[in-house]
Amino acid sequence: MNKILLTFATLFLLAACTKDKTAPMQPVAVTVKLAFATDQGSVNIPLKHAKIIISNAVTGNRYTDSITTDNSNQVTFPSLVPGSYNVAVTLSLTAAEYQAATGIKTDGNVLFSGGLQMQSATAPQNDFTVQLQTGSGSEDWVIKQLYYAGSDTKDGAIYRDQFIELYNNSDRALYADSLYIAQVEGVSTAMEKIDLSKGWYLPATGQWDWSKAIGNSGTNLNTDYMYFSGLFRIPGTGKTYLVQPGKSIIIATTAINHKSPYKDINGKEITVRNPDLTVDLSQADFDVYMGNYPGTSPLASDLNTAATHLDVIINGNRDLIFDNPGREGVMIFRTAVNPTSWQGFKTPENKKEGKLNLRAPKADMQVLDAIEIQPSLVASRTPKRMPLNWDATYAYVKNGSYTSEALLRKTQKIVNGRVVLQDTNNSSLDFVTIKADPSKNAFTTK
Amino acid sequence: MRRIKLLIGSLLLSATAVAQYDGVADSVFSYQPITDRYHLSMQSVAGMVLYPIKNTGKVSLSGMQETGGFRTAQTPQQHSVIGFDTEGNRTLGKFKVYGNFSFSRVWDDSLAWSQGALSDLSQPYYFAAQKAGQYIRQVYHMNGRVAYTLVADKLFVGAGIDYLYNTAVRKVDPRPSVKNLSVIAQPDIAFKTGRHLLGLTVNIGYGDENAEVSYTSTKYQNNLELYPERTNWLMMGMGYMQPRTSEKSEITDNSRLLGLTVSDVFTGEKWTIHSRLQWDQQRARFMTDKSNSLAREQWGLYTTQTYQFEMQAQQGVAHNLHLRGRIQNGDDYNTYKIPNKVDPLNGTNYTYRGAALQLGYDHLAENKRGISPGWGATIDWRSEAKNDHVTSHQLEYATISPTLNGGIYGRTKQGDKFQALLTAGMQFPLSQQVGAAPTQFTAFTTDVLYHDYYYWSATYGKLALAAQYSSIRLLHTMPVAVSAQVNYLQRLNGKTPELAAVPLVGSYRLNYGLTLHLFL
Repeated sequence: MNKILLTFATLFLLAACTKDKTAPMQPVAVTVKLAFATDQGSVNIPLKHAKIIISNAVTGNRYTDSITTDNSNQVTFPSLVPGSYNVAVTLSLTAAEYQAATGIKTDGNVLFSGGLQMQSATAPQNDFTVQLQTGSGSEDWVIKQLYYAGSDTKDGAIYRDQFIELYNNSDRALYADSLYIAQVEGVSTAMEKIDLSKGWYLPATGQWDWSKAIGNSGTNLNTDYMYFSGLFRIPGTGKTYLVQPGKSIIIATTAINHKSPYKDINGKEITVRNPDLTVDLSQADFDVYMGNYPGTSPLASDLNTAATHLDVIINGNRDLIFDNPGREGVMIFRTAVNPTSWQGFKTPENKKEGKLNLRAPKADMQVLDAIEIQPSLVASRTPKRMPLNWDATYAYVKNGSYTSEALLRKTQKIVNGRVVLQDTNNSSLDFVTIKADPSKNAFTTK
Repeated sequence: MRRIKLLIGSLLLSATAVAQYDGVADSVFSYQPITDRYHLSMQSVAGMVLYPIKNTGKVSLSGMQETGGFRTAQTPQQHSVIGFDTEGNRTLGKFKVYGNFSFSRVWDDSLAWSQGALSDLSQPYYFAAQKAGQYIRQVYHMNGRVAYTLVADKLFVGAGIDYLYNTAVRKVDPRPSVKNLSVIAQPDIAFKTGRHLLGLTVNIGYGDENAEVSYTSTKYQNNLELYPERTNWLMMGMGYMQPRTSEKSEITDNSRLLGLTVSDVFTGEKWTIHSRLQWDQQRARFMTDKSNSLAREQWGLYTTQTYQFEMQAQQGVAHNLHLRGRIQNGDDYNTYKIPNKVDPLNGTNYTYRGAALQLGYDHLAENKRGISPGWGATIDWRSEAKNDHVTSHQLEYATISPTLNGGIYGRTKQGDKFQALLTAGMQFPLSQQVGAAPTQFTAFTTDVLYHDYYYWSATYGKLALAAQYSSIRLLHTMPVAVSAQVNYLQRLNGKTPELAAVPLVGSYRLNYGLTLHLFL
């Protein structure tokens, strides 16, 4: 009897052995160190009060901290889940603080910002360094409002009511003539669905490796150039479209009142079931008309309106169409170069067919403003397409596609009644979500 | 097809088993210690061989409802079941057969943070959403066993099979559709030595679960900042979670079980002692389903070791002593990754340690003037520790629950039987511990982790009343019984949450039901 019991006991012990156990995992720590970018010169600005936000790239969980002592340049976030993190940093100095540190006088607060994207934190201790730099300032044009989400697909106007509002953020009147609006080409596949082994992605970022595009040659093809899927220019002689300080221009996809019924280019009457969801763009200053763009069949909604049409340099779409989910980069710039001299290339994975993207040397452009947009849904976010020094992060409307929501740049200050908009080159800090408002009077309160 | 064959086989088995009436079924299924012995015996060849009643069985139709806020967070506010159940055993020469078939239709209302099939709250990998909703489940459970006398009074062989299939759906975004199947085969051998009948059972199990969560409303799917409670989370422990909000998300869980059970039935002069010791190892592999099983990609493994001990000593129906114990340890191995975003942990994030012990005694006095009084006492001890390491989430508790019962079992002059049992008890918290890294606080932390901490910190009182009346006069060929039971739990005291975000634990839980039995 005892032998039997002993045999059973041995069987149990042997059977219970397992090889899958490991020492339990632990949370990780992330230390964010701040430094001024080398192109900021040799500055000795205290980092006290710098605000650091890190957010988990998958869950969206955000953690905020700030530097609280004079001599510190770093903060540590303990007990984080291993994963990928985005970092956004801002440092706001009063004019007096800035002058004390640099000897330079300014007429208001000076904002420094910086950011990092998709930084992997899997080791017990992870160190990230963020380069800070000043924004492009308040001296020129900025993108004030971007309505890319569109309105409801059944009750609204889908994407035909999109628009962009450009704002004279300076203290002097500016001509809008020859201002370029570009849509930056980039990978639109969700980051987590990209197969980096394909060969045409940059392993570090998941963005296109433009050196693999057929016919593209030269050096630094991924860093010295931008690639535009759409490029539009405000026409004029150079002294046609004067815009006063603190005033805007609206560029519509189609400059009509989208709340009202209209006849499309095929003569079909189009009505909107719920006019409250869309906007009246009949007063827009400009729109895009593709009816006379060679080789393109324009959208049925692309009416030849009375508004001034932008010059279309290149456009892969059948109208001015921003990506509804938010896989988009938009920038405005001036250039002394005729962009028709820039070469066009298909995206690197596109071996046979496909639309051309214009390769624009950064050295040829005076970039005034840039904004990267990403989908609201974390799982759908794509590789960053805008350089970090132009937009350290990205923005998105809170509720995603077809929600009638737009991004509006925040008000930084009001000078003698003129609203100065905030531009830290960090769109996650600079923009808020509003219901699209083309009245030119939409501002956040300071 | 396999499922249909199993269903038919099990139905035939239970129908065969219940087909003959020996007239004792209402006794077997009316006094709980005797029913417990019946079920314990039917779990092994050793138990079946020595079970003294050759043929018995019952068919039941029941309705039950449970409601009240004194519950853990991943338990529905209201739980309703309509069930059909049949079981029985029969002796056919050298064969003894047992079969059981049950079907339940379940409505779970206001259930949040749990999108799985059946509630296994020790398990780390499942979909969850904060949004509460109503679930409709269908559960088919069949098991059967055959014992054969190979050498008379010496050697016995047999086999058992346990089959479970259930589905769950809900009609609120994010809406899961879950199918779960498990089959356990149990080849069994027993031999007699002296007064002992020793048995060895091998448990070989296979399980497959597919959980699919989808959104039908893009309004919810694309507006998760406005409707955060609609986010579908892939839970990977008890705090480590990743949003899975695509139009359709899927988990396929494939499990293998291997175990051993040693049984011993000792037949003494006065006492019969039935003991069993069981060990099971279950390895559940969690995968992303692809077009075919070969392309499945495993990203999680959860291994559990379960040790169970059960002993029941009986002297007729007068004295019944039982001891039950269970230890379960679970460890995951997490290799989940999101390409280009989340590197796999490649390690153990979640550990579960559970233990439970129950000691009970029941006494049934001699029949005087048609009534037998009975009483019993039970004490339960329970301990659980769950740890999610990368989020530093931790919940540990231990409780003890003494219970007393008293009842009467009688017979009328017309031969009808009646019984009533009153049970009263308390549950006292012995220890509790909760913790979460401040950086990792989420809605799950407050809704589930802290809520359950306060639930397990509470002292509650329990009062239950069960009654049954059976008569053969209605159908003449077999007894018909109606039973009813009411259980009421009342929270007596407990800690008050310091965090306002923690949902309050309710004050009571009420369970009541009605069952119609046909004893075969």
